[in-house]
Amino acid sequence: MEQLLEIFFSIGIFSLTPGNVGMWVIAFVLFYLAIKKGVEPLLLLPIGFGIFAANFPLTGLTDEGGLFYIFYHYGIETELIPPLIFLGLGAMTDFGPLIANPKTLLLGAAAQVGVYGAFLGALLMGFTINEAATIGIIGGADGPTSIFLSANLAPHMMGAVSVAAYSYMALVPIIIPPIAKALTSAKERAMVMTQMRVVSKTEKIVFPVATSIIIMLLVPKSAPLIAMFMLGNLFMESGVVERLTNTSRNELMNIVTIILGVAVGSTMSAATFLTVKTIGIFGMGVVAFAFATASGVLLAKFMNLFIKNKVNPLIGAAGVSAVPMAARVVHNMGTQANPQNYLMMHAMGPNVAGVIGTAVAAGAFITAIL
Amino acid sequence: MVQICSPMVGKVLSVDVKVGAEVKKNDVVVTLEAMKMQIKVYAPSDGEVAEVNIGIGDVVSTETVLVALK
Repeated sequence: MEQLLEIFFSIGIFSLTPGNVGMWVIAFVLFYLAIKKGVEPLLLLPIGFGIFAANFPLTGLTDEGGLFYIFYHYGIETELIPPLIFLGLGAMTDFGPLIANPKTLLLGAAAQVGVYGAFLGALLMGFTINEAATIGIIGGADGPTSIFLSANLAPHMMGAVSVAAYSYMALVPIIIPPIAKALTSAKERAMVMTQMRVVSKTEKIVFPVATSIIIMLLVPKSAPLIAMFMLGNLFMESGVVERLTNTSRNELMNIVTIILGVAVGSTMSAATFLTVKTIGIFGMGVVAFAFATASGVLLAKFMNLFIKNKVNPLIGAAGVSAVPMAARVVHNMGTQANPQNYLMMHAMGPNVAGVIGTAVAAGAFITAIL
Repeated sequence: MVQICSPMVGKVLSVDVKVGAEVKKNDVVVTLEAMKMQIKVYAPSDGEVAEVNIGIGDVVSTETVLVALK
C-alpha cells in the first residue's frame, strides 16, 4: 500500500509549485513573441521551451547528469558555444565598410560607453561588481558576448541577462529612433555621405589577421570570441574553404544555437528569475542601450568638427552591435529625412565595429574583475 | 542623361518604372533587397526613363547602372 502511495505521489503534478507555473507564463510570453510577433524566433523559441521544460518538477533535466545539465555544463559553463557562434558570425560579416572608412571604428567603440554607463548604474543600485559588469554588457546588444561574460562572472544571472539582451535587440527599432532624433537636426539626418571606396580582396584577408594580432595582444581575455570571429571571417574572405564557411554559418551555427537556447532557458528556475534583481537587470538594460546609442551619435557629431569627409551622425547610433538591425534602423531614418540618402553600408562600419568593441569590453571586464 | 546607380550590393526585387515613363524627383524607380531589408532607390531628379538595364532577380553592385533618365 505504501509503495502504491509513493508511486502515486511521484506523479509530477503534486510537486508543481506556483513558481513553476509563473515561469511557464514567461515561457508562453516568449513563445508568443517568437511565433506571433517574429521577435528573434531563432533564439527566443528554444530559450522559451528551455524555460518551459526545466520548470516541471521531478524531471531531473537540470540535475547533475540530466539532459539540460549536460547542455549547460558542457556547452556554456565551459564557454564552448558562444565562441562557436562567433565563428559563424565571422563567416557572415563583411568588414568592407569598416575597412573603407576606418574612423567608423571609433563610433563602434563609443557605443561601449553605454556598457560602462550601465555598469556604474548597476553598481550604484547595489549589484555586485560581477553582476554589474554582466548587466552592463547588455548595452552592447550582443547575445553570445553577454552569455560568455555571464558564464564567467555571474552564472546565476545568465537567464535574465540573455533574455534581456535578446529582447532589447528586438526592440532596437523602437529604442534607437527617438534618441537619435533628439540628438540630431533634420539637416544632419538628411546629409548624404560620399560613396565608399572599393575594398580589395587582399585588404579583406589581411583585416582579420591584423585585427587578431592587435586585439589579442591588447586584451588577451577577449581571445576566445575574437579568435573565432576572425577565423570565421578569414574562412569567408579567403574564398578557398567554401565548405567550412558554409558549415560555420549554417549547420554548425544552427546546431549550437539550439543547444545554447535550450541551455540558457533551462537556467531560469523560479528561484533565480522571479526576483527583484531581474527587474533591475531589465531596467538597467534599457539605460545601457540608450547610453550606447547616444554616445555613438554624439561622438559622430564631435568627429565632424575635425574631419573633412563628414559622417552623417545617425551612423553613430549603429554602434550598438545588433547586426544588421541597428544599421537598418539607421538607414530607414536617413531615407525618411532625405530619400536620396542611403546610409545602410555606411552604418555597417560602426555596426560591425560594435561587435568587436563589445567582445573587447567583455574581455576587459574579465581581466579587471577575475 | 542621369544614370541611377545601385547604392549598394543587392538583389533586384522589383522594377517600379517602365521605359518612357515620366518620373519626378524622389519617386521610387527600383526596389532592392539587401541585408534582409527592402531598399527603395529613388529618382534623383525629374525626367523620362530612357533605359532600364536590370530585371527582377538580378544581383547588382555599386557599379551597376539601374535606370537612366533623360
